[in-house]
Amino acid sequence: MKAFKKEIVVDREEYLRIADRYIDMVYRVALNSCKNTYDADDAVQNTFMKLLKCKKSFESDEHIRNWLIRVAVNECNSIWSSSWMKRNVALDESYDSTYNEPVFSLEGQGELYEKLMELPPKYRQVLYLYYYEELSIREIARALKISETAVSTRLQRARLKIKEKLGGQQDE
Amino acid sequence: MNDEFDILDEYRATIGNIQASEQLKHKVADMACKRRGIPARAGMSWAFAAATVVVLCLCFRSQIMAFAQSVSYKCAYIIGGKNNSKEFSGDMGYVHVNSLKWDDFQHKYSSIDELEELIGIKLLKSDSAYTGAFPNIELQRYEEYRDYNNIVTYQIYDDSYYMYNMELELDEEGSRIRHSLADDAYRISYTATIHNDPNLQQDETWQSSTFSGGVYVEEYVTLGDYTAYIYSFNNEYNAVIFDHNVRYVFTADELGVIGTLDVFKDFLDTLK
Repeated sequence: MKAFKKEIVVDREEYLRIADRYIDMVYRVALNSCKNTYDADDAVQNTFMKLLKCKKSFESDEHIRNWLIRVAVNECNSIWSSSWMKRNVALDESYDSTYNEPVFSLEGQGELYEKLMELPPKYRQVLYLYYYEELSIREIARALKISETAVSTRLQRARLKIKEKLGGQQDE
Repeated sequence: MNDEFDILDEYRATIGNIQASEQLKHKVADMACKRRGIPARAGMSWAFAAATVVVLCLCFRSQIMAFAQSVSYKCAYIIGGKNNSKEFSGDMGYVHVNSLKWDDFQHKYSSIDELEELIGIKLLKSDSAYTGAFPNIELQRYEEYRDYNNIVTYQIYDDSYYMYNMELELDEEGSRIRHSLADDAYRISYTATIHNDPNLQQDETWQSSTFSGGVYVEEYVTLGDYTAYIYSFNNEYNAVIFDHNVRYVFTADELGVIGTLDVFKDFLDTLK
């Protein structure tokens, strides 16, 4: 007997549900891939715009999540690779680059965040996807379009780097 | 080992505090109602550009008609601040590109030659650059939501167009080739943007980019006789070249490593 898969078609209601559920995740992916909150905001909007225009149906929420991660990373890469998007500076003088800086509730978290942001984006990406989103090495490799070996290597280096940074801090 | 777990717990707790702003959440939700969003950054300049072109069309209709026939897409750069800005521009006319399938955009190409064959046009390139064995050139198509005037462009960008001069060595991660020049990596970002919408409307005929933190350096004519507009931005040299209706941007990444403008010019001289 043929098994029917339930597919998720992205209509308006479904879009709002997905946006509500995943916008923070997409934002974190973008912030880890871009260099500032302004670009991350752009990448998030572009990612969800792609979702709106996307004609495919999804097999599961996990499928949607992985798709969003991949698109968000691509969007960030595009922003920084695209000549005019890459280096365009906002003309709007009211723009405040710090308006969306995260607020931390516990002491020391702000400092940790700053140290994390000092890591190269490629390390931040894998750290986040592996330790926070709990994606497998294979899923990360697919999302970032790099080999599984590269993911493992980056993870290893990222761990070392973060340990060095925090270790140095503790020694002081 | 325990230290490591502590760090990771701390990491998770810290990352958990990072959330999209309410403003962004509203924008993303609103997109479902409007069904047609505009990238925030592009909005102001495009709206201004479109309005200006419409006014010009009304005032100088006959002249504009002639302009539109000869130039289908004008790209202008404004470098520097209000008092010391420098402008340059170039034409990006319609370029016919072979019809491509979705799979073509998903594929990574190992050389610019391969891309030339695929899209059916000749691109500016350097024979001295290494683009072999490890594919790192992508072909992308921007349309609709990004260029909301429905201008279709293809952008070919390569994150790492290594100059082949001395020796090649494997990158630490084994996934890329690095080129060494006097023990320093010498990397050039390659971007070619091709406009291929034959049905361009008059109010979509130009785009400007402003780099208010940039410094205009000079107009340099390469050995291959291409005019390169060089400016620096974010501690990197950029060279914009318009050739056969395609706009190229070459960026000397990690300027501090590369050293001098002359090295960058040496690269530009290899383009053909």
